[in-house]
Amino acid sequence: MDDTERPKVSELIERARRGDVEGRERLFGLCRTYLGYVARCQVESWLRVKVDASDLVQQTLLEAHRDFSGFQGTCEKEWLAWLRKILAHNAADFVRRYHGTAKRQAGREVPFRDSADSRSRGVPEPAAPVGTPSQEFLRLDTELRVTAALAGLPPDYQEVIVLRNLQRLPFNDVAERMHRSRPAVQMLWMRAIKKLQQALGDDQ
Amino acid sequence: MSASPDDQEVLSVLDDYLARLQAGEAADRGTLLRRRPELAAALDLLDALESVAPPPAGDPAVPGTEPGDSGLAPGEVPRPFGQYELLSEIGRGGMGVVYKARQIGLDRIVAIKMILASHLASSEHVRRFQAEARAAARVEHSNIVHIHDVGQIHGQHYFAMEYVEGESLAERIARETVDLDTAVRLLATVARAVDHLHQQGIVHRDLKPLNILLDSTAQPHVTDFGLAKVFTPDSEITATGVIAGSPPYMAPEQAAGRNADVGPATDVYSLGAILYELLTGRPPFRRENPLDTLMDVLGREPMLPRRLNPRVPRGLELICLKCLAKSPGDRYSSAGALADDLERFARGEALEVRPPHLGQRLWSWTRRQPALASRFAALGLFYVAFVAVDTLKYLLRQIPPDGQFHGRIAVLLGIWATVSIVCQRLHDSQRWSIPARFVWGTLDSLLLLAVLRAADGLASPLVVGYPLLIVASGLWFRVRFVWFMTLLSLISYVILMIDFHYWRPQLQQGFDTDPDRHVINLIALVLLGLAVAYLVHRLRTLSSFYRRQVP
Repeated sequence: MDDTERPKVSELIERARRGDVEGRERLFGLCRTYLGYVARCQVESWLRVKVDASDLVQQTLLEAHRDFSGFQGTCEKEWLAWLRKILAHNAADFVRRYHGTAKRQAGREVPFRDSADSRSRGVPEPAAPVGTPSQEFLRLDTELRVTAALAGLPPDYQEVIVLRNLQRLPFNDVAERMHRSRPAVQMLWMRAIKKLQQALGDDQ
Repeated sequence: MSASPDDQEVLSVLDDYLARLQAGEAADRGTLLRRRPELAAALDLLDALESVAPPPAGDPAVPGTEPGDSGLAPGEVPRPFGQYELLSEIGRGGMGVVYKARQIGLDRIVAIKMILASHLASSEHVRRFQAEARAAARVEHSNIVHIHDVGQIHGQHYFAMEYVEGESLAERIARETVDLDTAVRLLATVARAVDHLHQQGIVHRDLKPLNILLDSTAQPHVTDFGLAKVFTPDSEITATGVIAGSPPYMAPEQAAGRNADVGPATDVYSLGAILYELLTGRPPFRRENPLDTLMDVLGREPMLPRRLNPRVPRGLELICLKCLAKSPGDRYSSAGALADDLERFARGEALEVRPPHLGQRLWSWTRRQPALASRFAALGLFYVAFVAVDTLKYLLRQIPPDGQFHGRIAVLLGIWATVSIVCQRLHDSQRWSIPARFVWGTLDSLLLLAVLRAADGLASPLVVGYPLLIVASGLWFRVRFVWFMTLLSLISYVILMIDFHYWRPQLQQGFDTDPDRHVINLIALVLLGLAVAYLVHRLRTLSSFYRRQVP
């Protein structure tokens, strides 16, 4: 595989700027997984209920497409920071909207969808179905690689890392959210970290 | 799922690292990696995950426990919390964070207190908290903050209560001096409300100016009642659940951890402490160190309010001191009885409280000024024994007393007593308190030297006064002061040695002049100083441990 097939984000940004439609699609596709995690964690840590963040991600990507000409940066870091800014704005709207729903329903807690499967809750599939994730993400920087590898883990492993690491919940709360004992959740977390480490190690 | 010891070790390293990372502290990677070098990549991974996580600012996950959670910034989106909408943070205490919130269905403003998870560690705690809060919620009184709702949302225990717009009594006291009439009226109202609580079987346990809220019409509202009990362990002080309550307003039985003795009289004491602060501008006992404060609460009498503020009427002082009695049985029988007396005072009627009789006054004086009282007792005892022995010698062996010697000793003891009174006065003034202690110690040792010079010097058994001085210096609980007194004693002893061997060699008659004795005595003084200083040091260590527990 040559570099055009395993692109760096900076190259994709370059190509997208030049009007390369395929490059642009790939650039956005690469970030979908990452944005999914960030969106879900942002909103969940505000609301403390499980939410479906896929609409939020969709909205963010649409706006990013629309305003792409306004993006000035060149590297992956700047690109992700820009996306996060758009996301934060949308997340605040989302919380306000959710809050409105809750108000109409006189304070009932309304999880948008409550399912044990994290994939159905806005954590999307790994972005590119072509090739294995590890190949696709080989030349990416840490953040995108980590989220991509995370998306490849079994749902339980994903969930425990999302709650403990990304939402920064203490183990007691993680245990409560996952309906397991604290020691069980701690063991699960440790295995998940090992697994994630292996997944990342495999692509090097 | 069983965890091997190895897994436990890995988990502990990773968990330590992550906790520090999330708390925004610099994690000591080096130390952790020395324990498990193979975990370097795992730590890198935790770093990477942390960089993906959304910024913690404004993260309301667990109010008050999350790092970087500074509550709601102005202009931030109101945060929904169950049927409430958190509007702003209004306070933070040992138990948790208090928010101003709107109840969505009823559209009313409430205050929500979130209990820190660490305070409800076990299910037993949770059960007690729920029971206690439900009991509190049943109380209805216009001067008691009403509790609307007790519950749990996402593992976050909270209770919602009436929101009182205004300031706390603590803020009011800090802002301006409360005039006497207002103070009496305010405290009578609070005492009535507390009496109502008692009739419902609830003891507040943490009455203090911060827990008395004043509304826009300056009416007091008592808040935070009963819950202190939930967070107090049943028997003794432990590392995790130290005495609930605030030392300056805490009754002796509570400070001593005698929970069985805690009852309505405990609240009467706290009401007295609040009255004391209203009258004098400071609580009865407040030292920089909570352990010192506790010691005072347990064993000392407060300074008379009229000495701090001469405008305080005698009757009000009596009411206040009756509340502050060390023994619960000596206080008002109920908060209602206290309210009655305050109202009588306001109307200018005869009070229930009686001035203490002479014996009580003497006893409370000794506890108010123990340093002076103990010197008087020691000097008096010494003089009485001195006279008695001389008289006995005359009666039994016909040895006539030496009038001149007798006179000299009496004068010295008189000077000593006078000096003590002056030093006590000096010590009572805030500014001179610490220098006064050193001056007093120096004068004590000089006067003892003078007495010994008047008597037989080193040949006199009075040299036991030096070890006594060193031991007594420990009662100030200052290591430096113990060293100071030890040094003074050593110097005095050396002076007496010179006296014994050169100035008055006649003292050596019939006495062992071997220098061994002096060496042993000097070493004993040093060792005694060392032991007392170490004892004090240990107490201070305990005390600073205690200070960390009581914010």
